[in-house]
This record gives sequence, C-alpha cells and structure tokens, in this order.
Amino acid sequence: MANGPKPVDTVRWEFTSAGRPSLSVGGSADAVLRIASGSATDFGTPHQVRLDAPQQEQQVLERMAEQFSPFSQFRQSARQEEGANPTPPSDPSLPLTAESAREAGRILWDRYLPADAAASLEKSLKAAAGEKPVRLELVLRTNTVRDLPWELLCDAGGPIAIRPELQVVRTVPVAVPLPPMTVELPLRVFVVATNPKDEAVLVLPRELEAVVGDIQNDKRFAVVVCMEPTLEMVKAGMGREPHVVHYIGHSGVDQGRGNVILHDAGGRTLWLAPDAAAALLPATCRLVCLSTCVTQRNYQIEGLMRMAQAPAAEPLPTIVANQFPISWESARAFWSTFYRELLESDGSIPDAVEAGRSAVSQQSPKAGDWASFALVVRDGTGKPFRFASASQVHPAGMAPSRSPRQSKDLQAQYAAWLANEFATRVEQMGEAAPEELRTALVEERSRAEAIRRQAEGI
Amino acid sequence: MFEEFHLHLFNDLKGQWMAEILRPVGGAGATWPVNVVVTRQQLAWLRNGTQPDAAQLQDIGDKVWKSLLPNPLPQKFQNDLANLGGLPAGVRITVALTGVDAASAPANLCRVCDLPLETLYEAAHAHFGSNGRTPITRCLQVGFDVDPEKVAYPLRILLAVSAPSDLPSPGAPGQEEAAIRQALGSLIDLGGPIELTLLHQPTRISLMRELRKNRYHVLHFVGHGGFGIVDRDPNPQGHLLLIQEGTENSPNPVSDPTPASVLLNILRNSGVRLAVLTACSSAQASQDGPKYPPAAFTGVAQRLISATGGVSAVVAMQFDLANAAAVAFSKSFYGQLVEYPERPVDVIVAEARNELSVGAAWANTRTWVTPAVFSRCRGGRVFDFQPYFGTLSEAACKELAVVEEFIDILSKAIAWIDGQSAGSRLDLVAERARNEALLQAKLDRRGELLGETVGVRGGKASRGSRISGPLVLRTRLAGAVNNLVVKLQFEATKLTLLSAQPGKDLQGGQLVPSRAPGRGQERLVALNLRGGQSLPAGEYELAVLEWEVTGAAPGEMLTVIADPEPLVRNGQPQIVRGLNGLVFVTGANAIAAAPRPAAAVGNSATPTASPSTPPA
Repeated sequence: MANGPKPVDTVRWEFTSAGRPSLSVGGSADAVLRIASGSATDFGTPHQVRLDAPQQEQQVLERMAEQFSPFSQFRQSARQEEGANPTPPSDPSLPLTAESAREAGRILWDRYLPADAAASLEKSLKAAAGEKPVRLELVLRTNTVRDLPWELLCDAGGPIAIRPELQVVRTVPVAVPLPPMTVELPLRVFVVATNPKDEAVLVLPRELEAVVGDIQNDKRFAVVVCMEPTLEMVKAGMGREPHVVHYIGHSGVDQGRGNVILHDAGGRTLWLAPDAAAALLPATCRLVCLSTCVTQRNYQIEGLMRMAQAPAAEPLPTIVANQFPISWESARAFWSTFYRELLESDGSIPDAVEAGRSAVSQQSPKAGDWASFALVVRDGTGKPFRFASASQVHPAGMAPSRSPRQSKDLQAQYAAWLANEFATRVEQMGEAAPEELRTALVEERSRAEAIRRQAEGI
Repeated sequence: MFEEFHLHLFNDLKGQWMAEILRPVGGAGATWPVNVVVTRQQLAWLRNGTQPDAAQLQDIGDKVWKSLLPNPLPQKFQNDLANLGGLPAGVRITVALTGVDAASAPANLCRVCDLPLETLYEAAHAHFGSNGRTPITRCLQVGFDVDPEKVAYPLRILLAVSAPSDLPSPGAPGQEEAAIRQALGSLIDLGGPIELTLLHQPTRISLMRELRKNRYHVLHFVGHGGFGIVDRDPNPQGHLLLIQEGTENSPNPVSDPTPASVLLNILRNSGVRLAVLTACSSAQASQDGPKYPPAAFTGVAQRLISATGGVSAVVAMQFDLANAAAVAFSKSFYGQLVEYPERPVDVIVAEARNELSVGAAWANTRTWVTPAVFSRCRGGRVFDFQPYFGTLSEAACKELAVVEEFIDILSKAIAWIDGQSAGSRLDLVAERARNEALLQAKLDRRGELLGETVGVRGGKASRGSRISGPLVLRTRLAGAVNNLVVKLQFEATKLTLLSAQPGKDLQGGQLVPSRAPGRGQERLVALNLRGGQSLPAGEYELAVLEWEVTGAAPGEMLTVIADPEPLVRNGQPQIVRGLNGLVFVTGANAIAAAPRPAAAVGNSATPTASPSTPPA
C-alpha cells in the first residue's frame, strides 16, 4: 500500500542561548549555533550567532515585522483591517508573495547563519548526491530564534524548504524516541473546528472544505468533526481515540504560551494552554495539526507556533502548524497532499509536509504560503505511525480492539514517555541533577528500549 | 574507616594464656604464649592512688606492650603504625579476652584480666590510649556482633546520681550533672536533639522502673563503685553503690552495693545501648589477693557487656577517679558525642583521655588511664543518628528533594494512564502496578525523612468494596503527648468512612470521632495517648479506619487529606505534618489482570495533584 518513508541524511543545527543573563535586560544577545551531521552528539565547533535583542519578546516580533517584508506587509494589512473594516473578507487576500518570502529567506541566511552552517549543509547534500533527501533539523532552544520563520531560508539557489533534496523540520528533542504506533486503517482524524461568538466569525464549511474536503470520502480515513468544541465535547471526541487531532481556528498567546481557542458553555472563547491541551489527548493521538483559519484573520496566529514549540516538558505529540496566514487554496492544496502522502510514506510526517509544501508551491507559484506550514517533531523520529491493513471492519470512527502488537506498542510508548519525563528533569537540573535521577533515567531508558524491541518482535 | 588490629587472648588446654592476631587477616594462625611482665606492684600503684610519674607510666605501658605483642610485629601493623598520619582514620586496637586467669598465676605479676591496656606504650608512638588515631577497645568475645543502633533524635540520656550519706559525696552536689548539662548546652533544651533526664538517688527498683517506663539510649551513672563481697555472695564482684530502698527520700540515704549481676538484670532489655559509669572500679576485673581467684564477668563493665540483651558498649573506670576528673571527662565525652555524632565511642574516650592527660590538674598522673571502653559494636559506633526533624541534615534535605521528584514523576505517570480509555488502561495495567509500587515506596521514604507526621495509609479497592488502613503518628521527639486532633477530608461522593476503631498503640487512650456524614470531613480526636505516659520516638497506630469506595471510577486515585492540629508535647505546641492517604480504585478486570505490586497497601503521603498528561 505505502511506499514507505524516504531514507534521509540528517544535519542538525542547534541554537542555544549564549549564556547572557537575560534578553529582557536589553542590549545585544548572542545565540550559539552547533552543527552536527548524522548524529546528534557529533557537534563541531560552536558558532556565535549575533541576534538583535530587543527588550521585550514582543519587540522581537515587531522588529521581525520591520525586517521582513512579508511580516510587515501582513501586519500593515492587519492594522488597516482593524481600523477600517471590522467585518472580515470571506477570502482574505494573499499576504505573502514569493518575492517577499525569498527576500526574508535571504536575510535569514545571510545575516544569521555563519558560513560553516551553509557549508555543512552543502557538504551533506553533496554526500547524499541526490539519492536521498537531507533532513535539516532545527533545534531552537531560545525564544528569540524559535520565533524566526526558518522555513523561509533561502540561499542563492532559492528557498531550501521546497527543494526535493531537502526537508526542513523543527525538533523539540526527546531523550528516548517514541516508537511508532501500529495503525489499522482507517486513520481516525478528529477535526476540532472552532468558531466562538466573541471572535471574528469563520465560514466553517469553507474552512472544513480546505482541510478535510479531500479525505472525507476516502475510506482510508475516518473523519469526525466537532463543530461546537466545548471542553466536554472535545473530551467525548477524544474517547474515540483518534490518531490525528486537527484543529482549525483562532489562536492566541497568553503569558508567552501559545493557546488554541475552544468554546465555553455560552459559545464564547475558552483558551486552552499547552498543558491543558496535552492533558486532553489520548495515547493514540500521535499527530496534531494546527490550521489557521482561512476565512478570517486569525486573532493572534503566533499562538499556533508557540503551542507547537512548547517545551518538551509538555507532552504534546508531533505538530504541523501554520506560522503566518495563507490562502484557502493553499490550505486545500497542502492538507489534501499531506494526508495522502502520510499514508504513502507509511506515517512519515516530514515526507508528508515536504509533499504538501511542494504542492502549495506549485499550486500558488507567486505566493510564499508553502513556508507557513512548519513541522515540529516532538517524538524523536517524526514517524509516529506504521500502517497495517485492517484485520476486521470497524464502525467508522470507533476504536477497534487492539492487537497484541498494538498493546505492546502502547506499552513501549508509555515506557518511552516515562523515560523522557526523567530525562526532562535531569536536563532541567543540569549538573545539579542527583545521581538517583540519572540512574533512574538510565534504567527507564533501557527498559523502554527493551519493550520497544519486544513490540517489534511481535 | 579504621584499620584493625585485633588481638585475641585466650586459654590453651592447660589454662595458660595464649595470644593470636585475628586482624589484619594474614596475621592469624600463629599463636604465642602471653608472658606478663607488668608487676602486681605496678598495678597497685595504679589502683591505690599512688600516682606513678610519667616515666613509671611509660614503663608500665611498655611492659603491657611486651607482655602482649609478638616480636616482630605483623608487617601490616608495622606499616599502619609507620604511616599513621596517612591513614584515613587510624588503627583501632582491640583486645578480646576470652579466657580466665589461673588461680596459680604468679603472685608477683599482674593478672592478664587486670592489665591496664590503656597505658600501652611504645617509644616511637608514645601512649596509644590517649591518641584518637589509635583507640583501644576491650571486648569479651571474638569479633563484634552488634550494629550501631539507629536513633531518631532525641538521644535520651538517663543521668542517675547516687550520693548516699554513709559515703563521701561524689563531688559537690550536682557538680557532674551541671558539667554534663553545660557540655550539652542548648541541645537539651525542650525539643532539642538530646533529652536529659535526672534520676536522683536511684534504688534498684526505681532505676529499673525508670528504665522500663521510658526508653533511654544512654545510662550515665554518677556515684561510687567498688569490687568486693556483696549481697551474701562469697565471691567478690564489681558493684555500684545505689541507694537502699526506702531511704532514697530520707535526709540520710543509705548506700546499697548493687552487684554486677543485679545491674545486668536491671539493664537487660531496657533499650539502653551505652552505659557510662563514672564510678570508681567499675571496670575492675578482679579482686586483689590470692584467696580471690578471678572469675569471668565479675566486673561491672564486663558483666554488662557480656549478655545478649544487655548494653552494646560500656565506658567505665578501672581505678579510682577523682571527682573533678569525672566532671572533666563527662564534659569532654558528651561534648564530642554531640559535636561528632559519627565518631566511634573508643575514639571519643581516647580524645577525652588526651584532654585529661594534658589538663594541668591531672598531667603526669594516671588519671587519664582510668576510663576503659568495652564494646561489642561493629566499627566502634554505638549509635547511628537519624535525621533530626527540627533541622534536617543537608543529606536528608537532598534526599527529600530527590524523593519529591520521583513522587511527582510517578504520580504524573499514573495519572497519565488513568486519563486513557478503558482499553488503553487494560493494556497498561502492569505498567501502572509497577509505578504504583514505586510510588508507594517513595511516599513511605518521604514520611520517614519528614519525621513528625500524621499519615493515613490507603491502598487498592474496587468500587463498592471496603478497605481499611491505619492512622499513624510518627514522632522523632519523645515526650508526653496527651491528645492528638486530626481532620480528614475526602470526596464524600466517592469515598465513605465507615468506622474508626482505636489502634493498637493508643493503649489506654480513647478515640473520639466527630462524624459529619456525607460531608467528606471527619474530625478524629485521640485522647490521652498511652494513658498520659511519655511517648518515645517511634511510629504509633492510633486508629484503624475503614473506608468504602462508593462513587469512583476504575483508575481514579482518591486522596484522603490528613490535616493534624499541632500536638502539645511537654506542654509546648509543635507542628506536625500531614501525610495524605491514597486510594487507588481498580476495576474488576484490572484487578484480575494486574500482578500485585510488592507493596500493595502503603502510605500515605500527598502526591501533588497532577493533571492527567498524555504523552506525545
């Protein structure tokens, strides 16, 4: 059925704080870029990266808006809309042109990356010789670099994220990769489409059409849509144990954290922070898609990426999210290609995102919308699923009873999650981490590995 | 860690004294006869208060060396002595006497059992007994068989002061007691880590009753001692002079020579681990004179250390000890015990001897030789002090922080499973049981570290079933605790408290529940704990609570919040921490499928409420 995921070579760019006391005290701040090829531990010489360091995090975004024309364009347009026209257009005009995307990508490439970074990427590409793609993993450990639109990166040859030989993914590293879950088709997709009364009202049928129009009638997918997503309704939907939760709607930033927006009992906004969102998701949900609305301006679109890039301590699955507005056509092109490729690649999200971006680029060659789709790998592999033929027919959307393999998969996933909990604590404590915690981490890690091997042996 | 030099003195088949080296290993195997060269005259100098000068003391010590040690010395011992400053702690010299002197021993020579081992001298190292790096310990068996007693503060010391009117007063009234109090300083203040109780004019009965009523770790006797015929026994024995029954409250209390064998009966099984006897001749092993052939265990210290159920270590005086010297010794001894809780008792005594040897009042006298240590304790440590509630040690604080991390992670891990569908929970039932057992162990450990706690023990139950668990008071400080009030809070829709019965440790007290049915609140009052008697440090089951799980779903973790009011101990209010109980609700299927964890029912404490947090 599936072609399977593409084999890849990996280049990792890890940006960390340079150890300055705080960005909030003003002055310039540096980040440190470490470059690794093939193995996460194989870092070379660290490079100092000069970044503009405004006093407030919000100012970082403002500065970006001034520096990058796409952001500037979008923000000016947004301001005009706020003042002049409270009623949103049903199909907002395209905010980001291909030309603007290229300009912003060049600034990122020339100004923020040392020559070694480009050289390492070039070297890996040559080594791969076009036979397999190179995956550029971006590990962004500071807010300043996390908020930059790295997907726009553009060298002399053009934007790198839409080249067939390159995959650009962001990674929130975990100590123990979560093993893939065996899924018997249909893939259960739970769509949460929000439209609270006290926010700019969306045209929901259009929104849904853009996201699931192509897969709704595909028997390989079981799509359930929640149109009145109160907390209770969402919880009830999670009881069906979806594999994918696809959110469509507004977002916001609260205390620096990204929030999605559900409905309260009165149909008004109910903000949901990353920890609360994580608590809602069942173990079967290994992919979350955060789609910005396309029939209305998003309340605060930064919230989607902030949630997607929440710290590893928030146990969210791998997330695909929009980082700036896109057209309806681009949304449609991306998601229809994405879901199809997800099955074709046997559950490889980077492959599916790569295909989706290409589709958007081809469908709207004059737009830069393809760069809005960012992938944040949070499970260590970006391959949360392994598809198997259904052993029996299940009622649409309902979770079937599990096979022994699936039961063991779940145990392996849990063991890996527990090991990652220990790893997160150890990492947070740094050198002060007590020996008992380190020992527990080693034990839980090897235990998780043993259970994963048992699962693979079934 | 000390290097060991363990010398064993024993009788061969002919009753002759022989010696062998048990440690270091490798020195064992060879035996040689013991030829005592210390004269009875020299012993008499020590015993009769004829103060030998420094040169004479060195000569005695040198003769002890020549009497006991082989020539050449074992290589390891030689090396250790040569490198004494480079060793981590030093060399512990232990002399085990398992034989008896023959009645036919030469009259002009000192008996082996009377050898003043503490004078041991060698020109290159001077006297060993006053050097903390070469402590000397006596024992009456081969090897050591008692581990240090784990003591949760306070260390409880009974100070028994006997001052009969028919004998010279052992110093000015209260002088030694005052010195001990001064040495202990603020540590004996109410709620401090040492509790000092004074028993004035102890009789045999009052001493025994006091030791039975309140468990003490240390008995310190201040008074007279001697060696002679007492209690109609024709064989001389070591004895302490307690007060004759009935005269203790009179203006003229009369002395009661209490033989070693009776003292053993008083102390046996009392819980006292260390006896400090600042009484003359309390370490003397035999009576002078040929008509009194020595017997085993007739000295006070020797008798007390000899029996199982007796004390683990005795510090006693082999000769007369001047009152002022006894005061100085006590001050040094307890000062070190408090300041260096890890220090072995023989090292403490060696350091105290050293203080006496340099003090102007006793320099160049045999005063410092007088204290002797008898021990059965491995490593020389009598006590292993546990963290003190009032000021948790740095190590305890660190461990507590780690335990809290584990509790947080494991609570989250269990909550994660509980947040899954029924099918997923079934797949993860073994994982849950494993983590539940780990959590219980960590909760128990937290309770141990925190010390002064009132905790509810929970366990596992399915909906509709009953579960019972105790309400436990754990104390780190001893004292009179009369009443304890605990408020329990729980979700009344999910859990019902069916009954609260008095626990096995309430002993004469009453349990008064104040029921508030359906409200999820219960106020339990434990009245008159232990009939008003002092409560030693320890763990006490005050009540047994029976619960019914009424409305909870399988997989839920219910919390019973224990909220104790401050308890009043010795008239002072003290904060007690509450350790909440956890009830893990299981489903019938889950129970059938789940392997029982090692600790199915356990404590207790508060897992911080964690949201159900599914992983990626």
